[in-house]
Amino acid sequence: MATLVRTQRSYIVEQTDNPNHWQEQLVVLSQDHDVVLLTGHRDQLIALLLSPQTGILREWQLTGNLSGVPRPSDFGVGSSLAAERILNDTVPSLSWNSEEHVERRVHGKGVFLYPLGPVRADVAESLMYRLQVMGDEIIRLELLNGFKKRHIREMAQGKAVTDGIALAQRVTGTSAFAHGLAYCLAVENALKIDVNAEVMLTRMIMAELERSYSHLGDLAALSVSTGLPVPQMEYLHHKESILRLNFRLFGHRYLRDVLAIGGMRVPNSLFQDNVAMVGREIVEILDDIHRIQDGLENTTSFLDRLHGAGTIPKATIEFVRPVGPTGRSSGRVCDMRIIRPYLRYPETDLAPPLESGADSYARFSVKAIELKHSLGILRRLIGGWNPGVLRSLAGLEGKSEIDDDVAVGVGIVEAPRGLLVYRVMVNPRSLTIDHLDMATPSARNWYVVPPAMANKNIMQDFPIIEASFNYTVAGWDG
Amino acid sequence: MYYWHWLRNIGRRSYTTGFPTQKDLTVEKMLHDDDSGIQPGAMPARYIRRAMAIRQLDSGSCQGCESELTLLSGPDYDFTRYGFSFTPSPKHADILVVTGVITEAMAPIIREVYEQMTDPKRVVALGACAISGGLFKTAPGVIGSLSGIIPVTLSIEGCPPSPGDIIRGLLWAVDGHDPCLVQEAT
Ligand code: SF4
Repeated sequence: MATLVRTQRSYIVEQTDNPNHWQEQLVVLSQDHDVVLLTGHRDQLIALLLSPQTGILREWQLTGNLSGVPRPSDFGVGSSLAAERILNDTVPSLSWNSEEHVERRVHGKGVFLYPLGPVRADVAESLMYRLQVMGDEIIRLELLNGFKKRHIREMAQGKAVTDGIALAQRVTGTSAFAHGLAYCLAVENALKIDVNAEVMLTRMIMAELERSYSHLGDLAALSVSTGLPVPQMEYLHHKESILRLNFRLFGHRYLRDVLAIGGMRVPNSLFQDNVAMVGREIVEILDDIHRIQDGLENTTSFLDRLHGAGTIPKATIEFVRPVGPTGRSSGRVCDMRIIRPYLRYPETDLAPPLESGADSYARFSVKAIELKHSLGILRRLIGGWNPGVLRSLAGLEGKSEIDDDVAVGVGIVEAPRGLLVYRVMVNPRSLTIDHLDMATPSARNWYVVPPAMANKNIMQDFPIIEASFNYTVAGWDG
Repeated sequence: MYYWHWLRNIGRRSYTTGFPTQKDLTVEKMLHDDDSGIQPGAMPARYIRRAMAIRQLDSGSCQGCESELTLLSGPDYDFTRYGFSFTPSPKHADILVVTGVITEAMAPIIREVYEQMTDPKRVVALGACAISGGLFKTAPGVIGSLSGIIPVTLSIEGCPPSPGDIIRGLLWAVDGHDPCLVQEAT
């Protein structure tokens, strides 16, 4: 029979042969916690749980055979949630997936299967949609992913901790910095490295730059899905402006190769630019964004297509607990910058938007407001930013002081698409990665797409709903 | 407010860069570091006139290369001025642009898409991942380079290659010579 153990202190919470007792434990866990990660390490299964109220992260370890133990999805974690799939892939012996699992289908007169993908749309990631339609109405959607697995978790094993950054930054292109940051925070947490305030400020500036360009890209995709190329072009132009800004400041358009564990690898280009001028440019972009958004808010053809399209059913919201802009547009308070402040976010008076419509319009509106907030934060931060101080900073040098076989660390950030968690086990002596886990926002949020799509929408709404979510398949497949 | 923007836009220079046929320092700075950015492979003897439809195929990318490709249709690069456009159908496509590492699951699909395209056709390997597998060369289920699967006309280095690199590479693949040479001649 399985046991539930609190790790680190090896505090045994529950060890019983009574499956009912098990159920009670899991219910308690999943009701006031967000399960962020559930994965196998060797022959153990580890669940990381985050309490939405306190933001405290707890780590639980399950050992042994899982037969007879209820699957987490029975208690509020989606039946096909990534965690269970990961577990199935990594430790098949410890998984809930039964062999007699049959694919559910809708049958009937006039029901057609509309396969779409994996090669689809103009520029798109590989993902297979199987739409079942009746006339124009979408009555069921099935997603098939896994075409582009790069096995990043396995790739990280045995690598030097400093090499892990490059790998983490290649999980998702438009959240490259957030991934690198979460990884660095996890390693710094494991090795007990403190970073100074100036590094934190620079990291924050980069994180907000990334959120801005990522949201701009999402909004551009949404505008063109409703047939409005003018705002699309304007958003794309601003996205390009921010990418150029990234390049001028940090030497890379997608902010790669700058992070280092315990510090920053400061590029020479940082000092050639006039920081005051960057501030002015951001104000200009912010002004223009206000104008474009006012325009869209007054375009009825745009609003008509968005209102009520792709509403996520209430049960799905409770079941999957979406994170990021999707979560905030369905009434969930889930901004990690507030719930579990990191870097220097407590110093900013951040007030994330909250909508409850859970439809495409709510998602548009949340992203639009967040974009303005991010640019606002950037404008304020850049005023007090002195990159000259960074020059003297070195990253991780030599060996760490911890004299142990393994050190575990967790890094939690709010990526542009939501809650992103990394958990690393490093060997402090050789400074190599023993094990790497990550929970990406896309891996979780994709599960709201099928129920939202099959919720009284017609085929013509499909591209709009898809663009309003705009998750990445790369982050899902990993 | 509206008229002010209208007037300002009249006075403003166009966002669109003249690169690669004209000089543009901002874009050129962002190009791949050295001159090895673009590696032409086996160039076909027959050249096509320009009205090129591009089919993009993701076989395991991080979505960074896609992000740069989408920017090509934006006002800063506006690749329609050279006659390029994206197409959803391989049957309409003249150029196949492959991004990301080649996974075992996608390899047969890549071959299929290539077969479906009508002659004459070009294949462009975009980004370090598609060219050699990049960081994921040794990952399980990753085959390696695109050229091992279908004939590649040209490779564009970078992670991701900047839109400037991509435009230059696309024109090179179509015309058979480096478009930047035009810039030096004038
Ligand atoms: S080349 Fe770089 S940007 Fe392009 S898919 Fe690979 S990792 Fe991503």
